[in-house]
Amino acid sequence: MPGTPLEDMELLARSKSGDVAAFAALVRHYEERVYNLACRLVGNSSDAADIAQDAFLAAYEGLGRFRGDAAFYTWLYRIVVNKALTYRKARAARPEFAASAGNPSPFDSVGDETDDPLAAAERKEEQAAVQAAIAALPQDFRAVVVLKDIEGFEYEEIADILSIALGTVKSRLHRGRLLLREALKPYLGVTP
Amino acid sequence: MKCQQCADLLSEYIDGRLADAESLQVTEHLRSCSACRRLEKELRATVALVGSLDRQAVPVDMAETVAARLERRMLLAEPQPPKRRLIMAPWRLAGVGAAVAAVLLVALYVWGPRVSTVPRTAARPTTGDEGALGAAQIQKNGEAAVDRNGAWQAAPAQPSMKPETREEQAVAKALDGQPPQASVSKPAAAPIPVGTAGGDGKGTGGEDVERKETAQEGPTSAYGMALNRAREIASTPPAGTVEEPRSSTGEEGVGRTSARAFKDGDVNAQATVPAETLAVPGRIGKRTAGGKLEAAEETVTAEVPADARAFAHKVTEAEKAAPAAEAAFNFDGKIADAADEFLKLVPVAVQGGLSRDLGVDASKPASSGAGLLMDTAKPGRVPLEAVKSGASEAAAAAGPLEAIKSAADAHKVSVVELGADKAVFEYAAERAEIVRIVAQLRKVGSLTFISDAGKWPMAEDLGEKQHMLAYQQQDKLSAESARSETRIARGVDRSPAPVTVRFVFTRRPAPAEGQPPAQTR
Repeated sequence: MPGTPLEDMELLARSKSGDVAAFAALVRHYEERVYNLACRLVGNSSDAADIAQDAFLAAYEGLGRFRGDAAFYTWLYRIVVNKALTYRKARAARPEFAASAGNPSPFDSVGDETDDPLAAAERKEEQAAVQAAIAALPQDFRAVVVLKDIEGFEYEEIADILSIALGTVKSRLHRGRLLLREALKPYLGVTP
Repeated sequence: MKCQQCADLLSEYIDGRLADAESLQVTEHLRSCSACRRLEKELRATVALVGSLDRQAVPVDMAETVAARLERRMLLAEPQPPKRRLIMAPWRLAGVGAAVAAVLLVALYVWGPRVSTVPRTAARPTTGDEGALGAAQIQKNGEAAVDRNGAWQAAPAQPSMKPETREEQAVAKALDGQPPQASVSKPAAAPIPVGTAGGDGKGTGGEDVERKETAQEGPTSAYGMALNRAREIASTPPAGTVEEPRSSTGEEGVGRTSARAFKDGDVNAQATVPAETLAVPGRIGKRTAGGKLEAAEETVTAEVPADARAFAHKVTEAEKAAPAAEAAFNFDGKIADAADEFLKLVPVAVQGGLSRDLGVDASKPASSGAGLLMDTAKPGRVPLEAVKSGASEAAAAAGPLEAIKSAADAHKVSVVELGADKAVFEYAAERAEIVRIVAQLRKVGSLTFISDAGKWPMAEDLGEKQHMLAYQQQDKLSAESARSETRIARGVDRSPAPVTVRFVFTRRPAPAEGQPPAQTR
């Protein structure tokens, strides 16, 4: 991930002075990653949309506190993660989203254009399994795994976003992956 | 290299994060060990599989919705250019955060369910005092007020905009000329007439607090969560009107205590604000290690009636006079007395016992492990001196767990709250101390964790933490991360204020006959 691009810096400055249109442009730059991050953290697309919106609103409210010494996305994603975690906490009583055949998943692939219906079905099943395995991870592990293996952040960036030590990132990532490996064994294609 | 060492390093190996020498060792080992090779393959496959998840398409109108909500908020909120947002200096926010919380709690308690998080300019009843305040603000902000007034007229012209939150809905209703749901028992909503009521331009003492409050939706911090919790508690009917104790599942140990007290008809209990709502450490108002935690300056707007504002002023003054007070504050129903109480009853530093026993660097700020003892079943806190003697002797003798238990016994309190900063906690966790303490405390009561980052450690992860601990001990963390953990534990890497983790321990009452023992998590 690069630092904050120049264009975004300008949008940030304009947003700080109350330019909502500039902020909306900023939202468009980051919405894809913010939304996907939220999706993977909460495992539910409508909650994820709420969280993404809330996170952007909170970011706007807090723009005055963003001093630009860290990359904007680090700051923004920290808000997203916090929102997602507190959101989950508030909803802890609710059953997790789980994809099943009778219950069309909001995670049904958007770009599934395979001709082979069997392969498509398999792929769908695999995706649901991966999502379920991620959802089943303990929160702290999930955040690290999602940031690394889905969003592609470096260890140091993750440490920054989550405000945890580098060593903690390493151990959580490794632990999380080990748990995922257990859960996803049938899909790994590693022959004994 | 042994298998376990190798297995530990595999994630970093896969990610190319190992130093050359170490990486080479792993490669060597993999060449000769089929089990580890298999694990490596599986991990690689796992990473690939997770990474292959399809990206989700963003709802098309995300940016528009955000912008619309922002605009709506701006119309509704007090005018607040960024530079004016912080009426109080950041360092003062620390203590003031607690004072504000206290004020809100008073307001929430007394005016309970009618309080919402909306900047209630529109819905505010025009009692004399309110009017004076409004006028004072308008005087200072003449132009902005007119703008705002214009906004009142403009807003209903956007009927298609769907209010997003209950607060926004309430405000939307107010805009449409209906009384907002949230204040059914109040006089009908009426916008503050521009230029009405002379006022002296100063308002009451609480103005400071009131003015710095801004609308903020959704808790992003323990502070926010505590406030939400406060709202929740405030909306719990007081003694006599409760049929059933509020069903509390999960980790709401404190809530359970209060609910029980309500049911038992303990009138005082309703005046005792449960620990977690008060346990807003002043430090929350500061920045955390990573930088600009948005929780830091989060403030909440509530309708603060005139006498509560006066009280807020008192508390602010008291807080000025006693900067050390980390705001443990007991509201016993008499607003006027509360400020004095506030000064008398301050949290006790269990830190003396806790962090010393855990072998943490004593040169850390004294507040790093502040805790307090309180009893949610009885009015009043245990005064500082009394608790100090009770706790620290025991602590010196037998360690933190005994300190907690004996202090609880000595003062017959049912709730013990401890705070320790994250560094202390992590360090302790490394040494299995906290895990042990937690396990033992959970035998006699329930334990809730609150961290001001709102994300660490999760109570439900504690089992996992222990798991991880065992894992780390067994497999030995890499030397580097062990070093970094230690550095953090010593506070070297955390130059700004540490993240505070608070524990709320609720002692389970002795089971009455025929009654199943209270549930533990």
